[in-house]
Amino acid sequence: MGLTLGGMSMGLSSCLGEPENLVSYSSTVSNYIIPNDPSKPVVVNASCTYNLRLDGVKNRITVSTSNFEPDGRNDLSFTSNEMDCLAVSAGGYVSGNFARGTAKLSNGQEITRLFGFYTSAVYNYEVPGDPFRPLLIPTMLVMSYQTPDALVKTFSMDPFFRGETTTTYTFGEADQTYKTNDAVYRIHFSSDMASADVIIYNIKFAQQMPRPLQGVVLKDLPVELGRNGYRINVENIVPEMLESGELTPYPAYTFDKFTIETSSEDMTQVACQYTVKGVFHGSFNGSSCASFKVQ
Amino acid sequence: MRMLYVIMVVCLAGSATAAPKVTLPEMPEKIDNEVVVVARDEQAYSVDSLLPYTATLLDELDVVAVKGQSNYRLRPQSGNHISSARAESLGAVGVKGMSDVVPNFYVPDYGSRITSSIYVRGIGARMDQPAVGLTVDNVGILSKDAYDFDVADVASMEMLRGPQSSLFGRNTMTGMINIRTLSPLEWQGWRSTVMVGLNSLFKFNLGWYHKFSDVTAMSASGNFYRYGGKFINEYNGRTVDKEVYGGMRLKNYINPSSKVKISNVASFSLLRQGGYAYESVESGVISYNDTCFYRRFMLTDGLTVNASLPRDLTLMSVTTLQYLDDTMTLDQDFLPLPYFTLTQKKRETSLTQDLMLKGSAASGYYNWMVGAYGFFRRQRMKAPVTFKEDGIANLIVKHRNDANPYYPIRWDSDQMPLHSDFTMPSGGFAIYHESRYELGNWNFAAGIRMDYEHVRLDYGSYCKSGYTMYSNPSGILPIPVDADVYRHVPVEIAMSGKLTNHYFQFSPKVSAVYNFNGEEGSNVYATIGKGFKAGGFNTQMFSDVLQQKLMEFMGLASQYSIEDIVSYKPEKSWSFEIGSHLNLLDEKMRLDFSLFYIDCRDQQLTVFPPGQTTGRMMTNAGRTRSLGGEITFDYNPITNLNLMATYGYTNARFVKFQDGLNDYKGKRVPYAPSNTLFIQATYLQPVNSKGKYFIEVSANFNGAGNIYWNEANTLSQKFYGLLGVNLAYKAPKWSLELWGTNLTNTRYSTFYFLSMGNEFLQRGKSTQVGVTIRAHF
Repeated sequence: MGLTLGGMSMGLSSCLGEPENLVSYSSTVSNYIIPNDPSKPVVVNASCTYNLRLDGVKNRITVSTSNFEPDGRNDLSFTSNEMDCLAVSAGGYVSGNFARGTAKLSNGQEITRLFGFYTSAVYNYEVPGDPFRPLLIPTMLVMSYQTPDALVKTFSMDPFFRGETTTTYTFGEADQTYKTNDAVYRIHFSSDMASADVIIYNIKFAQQMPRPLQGVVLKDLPVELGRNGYRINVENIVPEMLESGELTPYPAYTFDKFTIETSSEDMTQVACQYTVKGVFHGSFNGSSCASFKVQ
Repeated sequence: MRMLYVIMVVCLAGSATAAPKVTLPEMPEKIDNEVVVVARDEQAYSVDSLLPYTATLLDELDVVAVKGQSNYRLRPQSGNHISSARAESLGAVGVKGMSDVVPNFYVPDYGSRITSSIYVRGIGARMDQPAVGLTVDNVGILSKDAYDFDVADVASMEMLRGPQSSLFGRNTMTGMINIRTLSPLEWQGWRSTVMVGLNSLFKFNLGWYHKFSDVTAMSASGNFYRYGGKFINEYNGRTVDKEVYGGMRLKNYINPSSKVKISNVASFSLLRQGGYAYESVESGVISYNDTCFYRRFMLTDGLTVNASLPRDLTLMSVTTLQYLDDTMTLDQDFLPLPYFTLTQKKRETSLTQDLMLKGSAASGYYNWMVGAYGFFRRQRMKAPVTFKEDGIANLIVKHRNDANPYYPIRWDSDQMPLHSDFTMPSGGFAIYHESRYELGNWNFAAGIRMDYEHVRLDYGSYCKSGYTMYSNPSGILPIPVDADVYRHVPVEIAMSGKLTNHYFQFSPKVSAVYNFNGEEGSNVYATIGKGFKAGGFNTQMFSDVLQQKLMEFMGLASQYSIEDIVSYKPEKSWSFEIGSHLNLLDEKMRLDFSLFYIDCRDQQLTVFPPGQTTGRMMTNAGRTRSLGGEITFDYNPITNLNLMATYGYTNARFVKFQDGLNDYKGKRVPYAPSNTLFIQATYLQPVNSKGKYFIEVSANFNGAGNIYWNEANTLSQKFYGLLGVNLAYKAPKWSLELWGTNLTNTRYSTFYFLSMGNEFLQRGKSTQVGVTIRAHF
């Protein structure tokens, strides 16, 4: 199986020669670029590295990059002004919000309304085939800014979403509902965002299922890129499941319908609905990170 | 008044109005911090004529007596004492026989001798750690798997109820069983017993007891037991519960000086039995196709040294070595179908050391004791589970093919072993102290013990097999003959690792006794104490863990981690008790009663996993409470008649127990009877004027119930009673007995379990009659 973790990484480094109160992060994310002109299509930068420089004494942050491609071709760079940013610890992770940022692109264009947050509250998992368990949490950058031509949002091309799955079904003669927070949904986009594999980990569709399924894989699903985010909407998909390290088709669990799409402005949340075997009707609302107030 | 440490050996029950009265030896004026044993007439029976050994003042080394007073009736302690005579009349030769007599003490006979499920006042366990301690001639038996063995030449059996952890530490949460065998200091000569009975029952004991001098003595005894079996396995027409057992015991006593006494008791036993007469509830018969047996070799040695030191101090040391080598093989589904079998081969070595120092203040009103204890135990076990063709087909392949009939599988072979190897070293140490203060009619005592224990489990489990996946476009099963092979899947699972655990336990105890004036030995008491049962690792669950790994390999997620299911924590309890020991009617009547309340936390319970899985699992249930009472009545209305009765009532319920699916709060704790009852009447009639020949007639009734079989309390065994009779002719040097047990052939069950959704019961023993000849010379 070729799925690997990708699309997001963040490293922490302290530059040599810098005062100790300055800390630098680098975050490689993807850019979702929504042109102001609605007739133009959404553009995706698969990989863009942002550098965050934090001053722990002044509680300020600057954001810079050198490989922003607004048109998908040319690299531009910018460095933002210093923005207020107070790092806080919450629930075992650290995050910081920043807002009211501005910058000038290397082509002279102005960037305005730069805001976002960084957080280490992202759940990430190993490649399928291993026992299902969360790894250490990497950091994540969620950011948005406006150029003269487009609205830019950072996002992950390999996000994992956690939340509550609700399944309704009929057992015997009674309608039943089953809820679980154990299932995790992953969308692994192709580099051109034209398609994606969706993997649902640790899913039980009903209370009566003796064991959850380790990983249900829906392969090569077409992706729609919209001005509000991305969407996957398919019908009659035969899932594959891991068996002895290889994927095996499971027609008995055919998804009659499957839809998953972003449901928040910052693209960290998704809503999902599906029907399996004509019997199980599932819905899921989840987040790829803890929700912080984005200004 | 000096405190006397006196061990009372209660001798045979019997009386004859025409027989001469017993003349007891004079009690020494000064028995000063010295452990002595006085053979004593129990209920004014004629000791000389009935006892195979004469009453004599003798020295005995008994750690249980040294740690407390010898006679529990003088202490804030509920208990029961079974003399050798009563044990003989009931055929009680071990722990299971005691449970017929002792109230609120239940040891059902099921499975094999590896299963010693002991419940006292609603608290107990069916596997791993016991809740009751057991010593035989000072040797504390560490492994519950070794609790069930026959003891020849029993001198006395004693059951002390209530927590003993403040003095004895681990696994004495609900009591202590002390069995003493005959000592060559007590009796000399040869003695033998031959017993025959239905179903090819044959028993033979032979013992030699010799006193070389006042300072050395030795005994050697052996016993052999054979039982042809009663229950039939309908599958092959053979009896399942046959048994052969043999053992030897060697006792040595050396007193190198007047201040030093040394004794050593070494014993070994060999056992081979079928066992596991589990009857299907659905079919009503015992029928399974694979072999079941249990084989055991056990070796124990206990060295006791008692030294009188200056300033009235006494130092005692008890060193024990135990070795256990056993093998159990089960048809674990107990069906006449090839599902799966389990083998468990175990070797265990244990070493313990207990040191005690005791003394008293010059006034004699204050006595104290301090001690230190250490142990090391190492267990090695191999426990393979073998899935056979039906097991593979119905427990693995069927589930897999039902989930994906379009790509079904066939297993490569019709057998799949899941191997598991374990090494479990454990060790610990403890220090303890007890103080006693006497104030007029009051005795106050307080004690505390601190235990530390470290336990480790090294495990290795592996499985190597495989299956072939086919393409089946129609999705219709069974797999068509011409189905194309999709791919072959090799299955290799290997797990290994190490788990460790350690814990401290503090066990305090306080008590008060008020002794009545005028009636010697009559008192009322109150006691509060804490007990604990050790934690550990449940190795029997590893076959299920491997099965889960297999499911995971095939795409189904795990439900629990190894550590979650294998580890269990210590169980702790607080016990509150009030009671009384009364000697009435000029000591013709003894009446003991007690009321208790036990608050048990993290109770260790065995549950079966839901659905079709193998083995059982331990869990710490949360919290239970048990309340109840016992009464023991022992009366000689006339000198040749003894009436004895015991009754115990226990109401043990879960205060908190959720197994993830069900809430059992308020339900009765399973496997512990609500009521136990024992009644015995013994009449001794001399047949000649010299009073040397007697006819003894004894009838007894013992019962237990209700016993709930599951946490939901939907299944139970109602109260049942068993009638026994013993008719004996007793001459000075021999006796002939005709005896019968369960003479009404009451049908009852002693155990229930669920395996793969199938219900099984162990039926209790039916009518048994026999003849016993005893001789001594």
